[in-house]
Amino acid sequence: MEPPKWIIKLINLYCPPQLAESVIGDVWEQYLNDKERLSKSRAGRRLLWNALRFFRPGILLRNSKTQLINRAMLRINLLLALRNMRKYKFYSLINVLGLALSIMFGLLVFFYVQNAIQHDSFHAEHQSIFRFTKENRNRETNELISRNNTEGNQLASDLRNEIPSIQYISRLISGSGYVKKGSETFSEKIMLVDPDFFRMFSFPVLEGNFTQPLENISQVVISPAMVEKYFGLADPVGKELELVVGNDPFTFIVSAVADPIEELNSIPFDMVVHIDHLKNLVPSPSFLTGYEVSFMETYIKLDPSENVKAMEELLTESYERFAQTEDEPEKTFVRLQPISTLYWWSNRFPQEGEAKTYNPDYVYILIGLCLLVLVIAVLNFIMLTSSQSLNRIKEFGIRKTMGAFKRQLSAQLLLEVFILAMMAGLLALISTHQFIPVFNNLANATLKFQLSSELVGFIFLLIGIISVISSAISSSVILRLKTTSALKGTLSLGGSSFTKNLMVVVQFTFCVGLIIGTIAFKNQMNYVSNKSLGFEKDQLVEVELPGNLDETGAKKAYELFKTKLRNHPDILNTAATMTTMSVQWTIFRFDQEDDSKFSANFNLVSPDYVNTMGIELIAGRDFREDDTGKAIIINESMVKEMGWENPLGQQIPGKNFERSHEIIGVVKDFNFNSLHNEVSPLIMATEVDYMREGLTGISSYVWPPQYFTVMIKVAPGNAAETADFIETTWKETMGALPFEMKYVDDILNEKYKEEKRYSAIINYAAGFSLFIAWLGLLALTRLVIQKRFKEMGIRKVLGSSSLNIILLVARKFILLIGVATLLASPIAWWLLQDWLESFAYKVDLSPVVFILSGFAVIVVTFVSISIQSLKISNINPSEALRME
Amino acid sequence: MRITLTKCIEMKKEYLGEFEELVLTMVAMLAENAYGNAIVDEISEKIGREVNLSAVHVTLYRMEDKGFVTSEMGGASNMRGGRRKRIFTVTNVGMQMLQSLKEQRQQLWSFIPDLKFSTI
Repeated sequence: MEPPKWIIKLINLYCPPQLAESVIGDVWEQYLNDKERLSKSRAGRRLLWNALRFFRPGILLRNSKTQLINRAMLRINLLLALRNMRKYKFYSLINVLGLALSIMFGLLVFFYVQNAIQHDSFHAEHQSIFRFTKENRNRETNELISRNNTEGNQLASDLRNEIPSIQYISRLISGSGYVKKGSETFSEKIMLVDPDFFRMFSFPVLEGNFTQPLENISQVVISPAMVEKYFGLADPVGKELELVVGNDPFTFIVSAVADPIEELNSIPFDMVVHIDHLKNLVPSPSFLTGYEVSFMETYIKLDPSENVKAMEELLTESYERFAQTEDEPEKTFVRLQPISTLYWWSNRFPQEGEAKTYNPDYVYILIGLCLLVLVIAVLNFIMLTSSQSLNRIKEFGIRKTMGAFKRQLSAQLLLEVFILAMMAGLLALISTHQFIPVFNNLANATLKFQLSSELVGFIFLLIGIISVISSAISSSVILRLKTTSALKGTLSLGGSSFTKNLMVVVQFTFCVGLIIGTIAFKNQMNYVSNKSLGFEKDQLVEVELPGNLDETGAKKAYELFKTKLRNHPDILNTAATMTTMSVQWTIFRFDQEDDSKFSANFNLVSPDYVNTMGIELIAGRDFREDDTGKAIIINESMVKEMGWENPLGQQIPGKNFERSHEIIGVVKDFNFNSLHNEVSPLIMATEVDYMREGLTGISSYVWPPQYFTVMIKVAPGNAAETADFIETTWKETMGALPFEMKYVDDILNEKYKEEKRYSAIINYAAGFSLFIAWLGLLALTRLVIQKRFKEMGIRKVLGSSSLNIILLVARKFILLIGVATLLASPIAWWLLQDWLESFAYKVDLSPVVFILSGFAVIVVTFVSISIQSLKISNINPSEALRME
Repeated sequence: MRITLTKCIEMKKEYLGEFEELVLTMVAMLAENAYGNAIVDEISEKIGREVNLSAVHVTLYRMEDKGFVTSEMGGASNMRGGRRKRIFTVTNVGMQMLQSLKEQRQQLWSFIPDLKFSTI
């Protein structure tokens, strides 16, 4: 019946006693009324809100306590605070600027992380939507062998028939198709899904059929971007759209427009059609059944009450039954990946696939950076406000003599600091608002400036904490002094110098650490982008062959294109290939006699591939035009893996191989996937037939094995002309089919874009922190110099040189920074080692980096101190001596 | 026709804001039972406007300062955890204020049809 006691206490705290009784009575009564109408928790929330709303000037100022302290004193303190700010413009500016910068950085990171966390959580009941993934373990040792998230076509229907507690299930695969608009043809990404897709995921349907957007096979759902491209302003629903999926054109009816919510969704789509079109895409009907081939993702939605662990066990058991893998040495465990981890992946699940993924390490790096910058700025703020207040010892001495209470003086200090911190907070909010587009650009994000009450609360809390700490430190120093010595103005900084030194050291430890990190990050990135990939990426061009061709069609198209191209002197070489560097390469699995599996990457290439790519042959020979499909070339890793002394003439192991193939050559390892990974075994062949025999499993993102891309090596210089020639040749041979040409160099750069972006962000963060710390140092040295102005004058009179004076001031700071460098180096080394572990190819962290970073900071410090010190050492000593 | 709104310009020194007027009217209406919560409920019931309790309280205190209402304690109940209510009553000045506000309104209203015809 009773409202919580603490709320009553809370009201008593700020309500004037003469009003408290009736106020509490009213609040109480309302709470009881609310409880009858609403739920208990809502009534409780309303009670708290009601109570808090009484915290307003109309009530507070009727309080005798506030009346006594405030009003007049508040006004005077406010005035004094503003006056002081004006008088010490330099400190105030530096203080506000430093704090504002760091809060801004903090806010940007906050928005960024918030966006990353909210990814994919807009779907209704998103906790019960999962991606079906598998974990293959050794049956005996339980050792993890591989993870994957691609499935065969049959899994979905088997699951639907056998497991009723799966509410929705949808397969998902995408490929490129052609869309006709008038006489033009465009290449678009087309996604194939089950009708359940739009029931499972809550993509808002903007127009058209809301309840069942993919009712039948002739319907297509498109995104607003596609509406704009193909229909302009007209209403697209019910209109026809001609799409080429696979080989045949097909007329679709637009049934709905759905919003893929780009900024929060990891499964982006442009055009979505029914999964039944898959039969036009696969090379043979055998791909549609069985469990041997896996090439698509499967998403399921469970009943929310379902226990996920139990479900995983059930699915593991069912999967074994479906795929009949009981006798195999590997056991497949089904793992349900919550869709909230699609974007922000965890190590428990495989990361490649249709969904957009994101390396959370970088989020942690960002949060860490943000905390570092904040700590530096806060320490700076505390250090500056507390040392600046020492300037005003005399003022406080007089106030004390005139009868000011200690409490009043502390209140004044607090107010002054609070005003500074508030200004910084406001400035931070304004500048964040202004800089969000810049940051979006830099981090390739789509952040929006949204002020939530939590955020504002957080900033206020931060400001409050900073002000309380720094004013407490200043008051402890100032108010401890005897009034008489304060009046005389004689004081030693003795007591507080240890804390101050400590703060300087901590600040610069962070700074040096950040700089080391920045340099190391840059080094690694340079290393990665300059590392020899094993092929010559320069002047190498990729052109996609038309996707509507079958195996022989593609081969013919390539031959035609090639003959025309080779007439030009600037075209040095051409080749056709199944996979390119921008996608995951296909993996073939071959069953062994003892039921173990051997897997290797596979690529179908034209005979001129090795030459065009500039891959080095280390044994045997290259393909020849008159080679049969028998001939294969393998890479060095394969030789190493098999332990072959003489690889030529060996056979790829596999119990199903009938005809013998022939290893004609071995190439040096070239990097066909990311530099994060080591090069794995590879088989290249000009025809797939001989390999297909031994095949018992495929994991692939590019299928079927045929030519999809033409690689062209062009001569340096005349790039534009050659590109024009390639395009005209394309038009002559392929007609109106869309032409797309990319430089391999650009594609590779794209691959490391994420790292590049972070390297930029880290640069900025390091710049920020160094700037803030440098500002603090500048103010601090200025303070020290002011204190010792007279001393310096005397020294000068007695014959000290300018350099001596500079060294006198600088010595201590340089010592502190030296200590900071020593502290920072091992920490940074340890953290960087950890990060570098994620690369298969990494730079060594040389000690030069560490020494250089420390040295750089020392130089900056020395310069800033010198500028300050030069001011004194250059003035006439008599002036300094006269100063009183 | 040109009209001069002399009455309107001759404003009294003390005047009421819109919310103050509303609360004051409620106090007058509720007579002996005018306390914070009752006023909130009454406003929501009579004109369907949700107001916050603290706003009503602050307004009442402010009007008490201005002398439009007085208050005394009374009427504790279990529903209030044994706390008494602060019952407000309208003073003569407050009543006059309400009266004059009402008259001003009516006078202004009487001009509206005139204005309408005269513009033709």
